[in-house]
Amino acid sequence: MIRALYTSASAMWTQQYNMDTIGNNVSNVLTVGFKKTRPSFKEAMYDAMEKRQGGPRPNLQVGSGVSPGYGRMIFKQGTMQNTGNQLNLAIEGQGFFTIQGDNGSRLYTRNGNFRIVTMNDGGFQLANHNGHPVLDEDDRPIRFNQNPGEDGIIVKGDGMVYVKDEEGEVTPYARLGIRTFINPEGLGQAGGSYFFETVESGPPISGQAGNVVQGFLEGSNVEMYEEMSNLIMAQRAYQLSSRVLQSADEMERQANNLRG
Amino acid sequence: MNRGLYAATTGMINQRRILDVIANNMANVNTPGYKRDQVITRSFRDELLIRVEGGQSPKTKPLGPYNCGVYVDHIAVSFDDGILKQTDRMTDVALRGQGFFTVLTDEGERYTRDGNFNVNNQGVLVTERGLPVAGTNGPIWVGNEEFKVDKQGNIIVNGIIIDTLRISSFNDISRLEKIGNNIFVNTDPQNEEVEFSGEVLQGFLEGSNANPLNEITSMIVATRSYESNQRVIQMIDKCLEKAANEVGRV
Repeated sequence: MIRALYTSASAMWTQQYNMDTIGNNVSNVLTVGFKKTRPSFKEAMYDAMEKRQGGPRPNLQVGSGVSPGYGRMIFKQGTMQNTGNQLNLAIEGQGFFTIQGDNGSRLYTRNGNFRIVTMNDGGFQLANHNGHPVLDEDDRPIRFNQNPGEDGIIVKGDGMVYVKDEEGEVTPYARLGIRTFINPEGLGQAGGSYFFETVESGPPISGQAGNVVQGFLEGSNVEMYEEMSNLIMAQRAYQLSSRVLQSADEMERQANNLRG
Repeated sequence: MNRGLYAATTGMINQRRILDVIANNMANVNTPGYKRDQVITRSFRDELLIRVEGGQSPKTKPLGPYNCGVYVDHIAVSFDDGILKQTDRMTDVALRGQGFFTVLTDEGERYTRDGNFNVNNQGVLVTERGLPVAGTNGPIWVGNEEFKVDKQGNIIVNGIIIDTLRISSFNDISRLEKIGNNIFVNTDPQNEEVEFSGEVLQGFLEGSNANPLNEITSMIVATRSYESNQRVIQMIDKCLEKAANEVGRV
């Protein structure tokens, strides 16, 4: 059968995947701490259209279409939104907050929408909006015997957490576990704006990274104008390949009608 | 048998192959660093047709040259620069001018124009498929620091040049062939390397140089000439039908 038929089918399939990625980005335009994915493409296999004997071998390599590459997570800074809530934290620059997920697993996020929750034993602890504990630099939950209240917590740029008592005295309490990765694009996505460590990302690296800003949340880094222009490109590329598919079909029809 | 029948068939086969190549160009309109393929066709060698007259002492009279149709001579890759897309991503690099990023594989050096790189878990600059990008002495180790790439391809970390991207450029660029995954291979070991005279741009990706308008036009040409050839075959078929069934009828 005619190769062009399969080539254009591969392109249509790949553009569909492209659309899915764009769709996911667009639907997360308001998700706090969301990082967009950029689809990538690569040529599919090439092979010679025919074998020729004798003489210098001419270039007869014909491609068989396109296939989706690994989507690239883009860790560009999202817009900072001032919320006024002192338990909302954002990171400027690289770095992730460390969160304890279910079954003691470690999750990493850029979403610093935190709160203080009451424990069953009467104590208090710093947790995120899903109720998962926020971990300090030694991977321990940050617990308080007394509820310091929203205004009783001060977080400095280096992630140091200070507690202000009733007399207004400020004492250093804990340090947020801010982690970086050698290859953040290799992190796995665990839904929401959570990431998890993989072989590709390398182990988490502790130490000074980014600048923690109190009273702000980092918005999604999806930009609508960019997604819209990508969507137009994807749609047109899909259309173009569907035209080629029609042409290939038309050629087949004519070959079949040779004996009319 | 009628020569025209075979000539028109070679035309149909040829147009199909042209469509195959167009389909691949169209499929890759969004592929970074894609270089457009073009089919170069050639007619079969001319033969001289001669008419033979007379009985006892035949006279010959040349009628003129004739050839038996057309075939694909080779596929030429157009190495024109693709459009530049600004991405602001540190590990996206684009080239202007004739040259390729050098990629290290188990089978030796390969070349690509797709600068969609990243840093792997060892801190090495790699392509999308995880193949190391070559510097002056093998893979480039950048660690987890932010780096800059200047126009000459020097990689700068904290103001110090740590390595330089190895940009390969060839004397005879037409000897490079595609093997898929946006990668080229040099098929001529005698192909001399020349100095890269273009520039390297960080934070940009080079788009495909396939232009949908050109491709759609070539597609129309291909499908229409396919149709014409098909008509010619039908016509010759009709002629043969007449000759076989009607001329000889008593």
